[in-house]
Amino acid sequence: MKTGVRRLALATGVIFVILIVHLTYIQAIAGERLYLNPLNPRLNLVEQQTQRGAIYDRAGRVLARTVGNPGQFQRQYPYGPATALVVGYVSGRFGSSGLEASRDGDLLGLTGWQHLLNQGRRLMGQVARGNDLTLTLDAELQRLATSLLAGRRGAAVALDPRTGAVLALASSPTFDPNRLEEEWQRINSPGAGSPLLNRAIQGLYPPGSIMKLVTATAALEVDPGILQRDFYCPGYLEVQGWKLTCPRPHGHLNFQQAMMYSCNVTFATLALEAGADKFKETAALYGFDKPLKFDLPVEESRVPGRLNASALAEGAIGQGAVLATPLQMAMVTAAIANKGILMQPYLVEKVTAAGGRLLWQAVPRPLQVVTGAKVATDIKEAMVATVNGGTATAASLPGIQVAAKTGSAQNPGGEAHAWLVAFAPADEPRIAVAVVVENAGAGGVVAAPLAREILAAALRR
Amino acid sequence: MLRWCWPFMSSSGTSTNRGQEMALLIWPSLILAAGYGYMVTFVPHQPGWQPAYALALLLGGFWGVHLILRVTRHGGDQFLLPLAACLTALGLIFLFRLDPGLAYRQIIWTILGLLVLIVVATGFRDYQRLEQYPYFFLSLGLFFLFITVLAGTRIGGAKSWLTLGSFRMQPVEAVKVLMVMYLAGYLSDKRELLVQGAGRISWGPLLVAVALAVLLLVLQRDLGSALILLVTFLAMLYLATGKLRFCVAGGALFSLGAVMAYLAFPYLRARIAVWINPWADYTGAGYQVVQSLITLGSGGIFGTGLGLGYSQVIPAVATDFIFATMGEEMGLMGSLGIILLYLLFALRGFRAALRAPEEQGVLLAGGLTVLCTFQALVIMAGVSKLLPLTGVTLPFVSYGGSSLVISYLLLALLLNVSAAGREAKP
Repeated sequence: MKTGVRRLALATGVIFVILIVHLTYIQAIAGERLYLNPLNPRLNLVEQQTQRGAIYDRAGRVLARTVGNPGQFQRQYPYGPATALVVGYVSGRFGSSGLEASRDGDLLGLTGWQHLLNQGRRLMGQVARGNDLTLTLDAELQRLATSLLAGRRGAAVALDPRTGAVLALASSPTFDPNRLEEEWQRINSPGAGSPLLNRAIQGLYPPGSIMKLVTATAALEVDPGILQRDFYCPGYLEVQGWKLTCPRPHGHLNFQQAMMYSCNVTFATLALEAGADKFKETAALYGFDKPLKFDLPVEESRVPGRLNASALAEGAIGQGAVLATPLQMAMVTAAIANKGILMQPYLVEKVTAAGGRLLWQAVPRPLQVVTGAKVATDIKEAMVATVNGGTATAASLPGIQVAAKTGSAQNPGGEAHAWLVAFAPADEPRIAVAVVVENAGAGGVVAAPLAREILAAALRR
Repeated sequence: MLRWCWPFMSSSGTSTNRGQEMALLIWPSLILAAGYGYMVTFVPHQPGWQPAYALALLLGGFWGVHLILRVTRHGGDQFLLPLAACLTALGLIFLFRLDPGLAYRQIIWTILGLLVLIVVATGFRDYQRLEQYPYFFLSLGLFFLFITVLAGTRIGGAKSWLTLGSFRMQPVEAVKVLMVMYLAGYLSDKRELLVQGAGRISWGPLLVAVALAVLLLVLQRDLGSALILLVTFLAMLYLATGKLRFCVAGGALFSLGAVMAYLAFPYLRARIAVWINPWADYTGAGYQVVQSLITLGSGGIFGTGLGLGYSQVIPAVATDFIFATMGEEMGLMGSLGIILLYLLFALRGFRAALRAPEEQGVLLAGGLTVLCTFQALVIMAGVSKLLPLTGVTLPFVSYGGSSLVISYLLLALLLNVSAAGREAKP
């Protein structure tokens, strides 16, 4: 009986130790993350007593600032709807979104030792001052991209392929964060097209023929000899009794021509030859089926887990259950532009304290070596040919060689989604873009001119 | 672990050192004094109440109990009263910070609890006399449960309140202690039969009683109390028979029942879903847990300081969630302190069981200790999402008259068991 008591005491001790470890985790390790959760009502109190930091674009243009006196702070967004889905909003009534939500801790000066300092200030009745953010975003490019998409549903992403810096992250429709109170009803009405949804990172679309860039990477890795091979397209391909078609029979063509005219039969054949595992593996290297660490919440792009032959053939041309965000497809393009090295995309360049002291700076770093320079160059040349005489001629720029790939993604919602991904200049790429316009038709017709404008504006500077 | 805490569990020979108790009572007194300072500085004046009177009443109460124990040469453990006093003092301070009105009522309950403690500790020092009528306790406990099921009021999900005019009580708190008293008497009586497995009949009343109690609690949707009762039962069964397989069988039966209940009761499924991911429904069912986690996290390591937290957004913060308030305002250091106070209480309780001269004492002290510490554990783990949340009070701390008075009754019984066969040093 006495041994029983001792064992019970021991068991109690063990259970209490578990509780102690758990509580230490909750309070000491996860503490700051829990505190900065947007659901924390304490942040609202801090908000009223803190001058929130400003947000600048890469050239120092103001994207968000706080004016007024303690108690009556007002948040202004000079670029309004253009940056609304990146910068987000903060409101006592409607909560917060975008960087205003994800970087709340920096903007209110609540991270690390600053938390204690600012808490002391507030206790003494002084106004605490948050930190400023400088983004990689180019506000003018962002404004241009948003205005190009105006009136349509879609998204445009521009990256610097050499660093992964996000230059533009536009989504349409959007909203005016300066007039949230007035607009809230309209924003949430069913016909508004979900303006709070950042389609560039949260929209999952079938990528259509853009996916052929991934298929091409997989195929070239398996067999570089396909560059010299002669393919034949009778206009259809039968896989397991399922018929995959091309808009027209392309007849005899080589790899580059298959890319130029976006031949479904050839790329489906290449994928079947490379195999489902290789296809999935290549997609994963590009970033599919993996959570992406980013300054805003990104939806995971996906390739279905088990691919039988017909699903593989479908997936190779970006149809079926393959879904991708515009950011994901911009990453694919940027990796090809950057000789096969995918850089980690990032949006916040640096965090500075109120006095201008640098607190944190982003360091560009490779996310993944996707493929070798040779394969990347081969695909680039096919993309150049696509602009010079293929489906993407509408994306060409005078004096600057553009490389591009079009896509027209079939979807149950009506007309095809028009896609275009491009980078330029082809020899020394400084910008990679991905544009998608929902239910607008052929990518070469609708999306290409948009991408062209964005490239032109970015390279003019 | 066991070796390490051994000195604390088995110190001080066979006699009780009341002087140590006196020295230790300085701590709760200091806590109360600090609370008084906070109250007069920050809390708006409550008409009809003087903070100074409240302080005097509480100090008088705790020190009075100590003196009475000393004068009556009570040999009860000298650590238990200061530990309970520390917990109650801390609880009172946080109640003042949350709702001074509740805190003043809680002071009355504390005094009542201390009176019960005195009556039981001096009047029923020979606890074996209490244990002669196990069926009386069983009937009383079941009566309380029946009447709650029939006439109870549902507050916050659980139908565990009895309302008499403006007076409300939670009989379930008493039921738990009554069940331990019944089981202590019954098990020590029938122990031989149970161990031999011969008297099949002797299992009957035991299982029926416990099953009935648990069933009634489930009918009331008071799942926390049902779980606590069951664990206490299994622990006492293990103490009585020394056979782990009874407990394993009991645990297996319980798991089976839990799975069946999970399939049968939608509210239980909802409760489990909230436990697995409270963030999925953070405005609805998960609100309490989400806000409680945020509250604990906001406290960090050193806490915000008394009164500077914002835990009042959690519903039922003064009762079930007071631990979250403590965790925010005293930080990890404070919440670990509370946990350690309960751990020390448990060790002293088990030590009383270890030193008890005969089986009844072992069973009573062991059962009561498991009852009290497991209840504290269930709610502390529930608030921090280690276990699914069930609404039970934090013994000695949470607001609630029934809970507090019964906690002091439990303390008195533990003191009596630990006093058995010992002389107090004057």
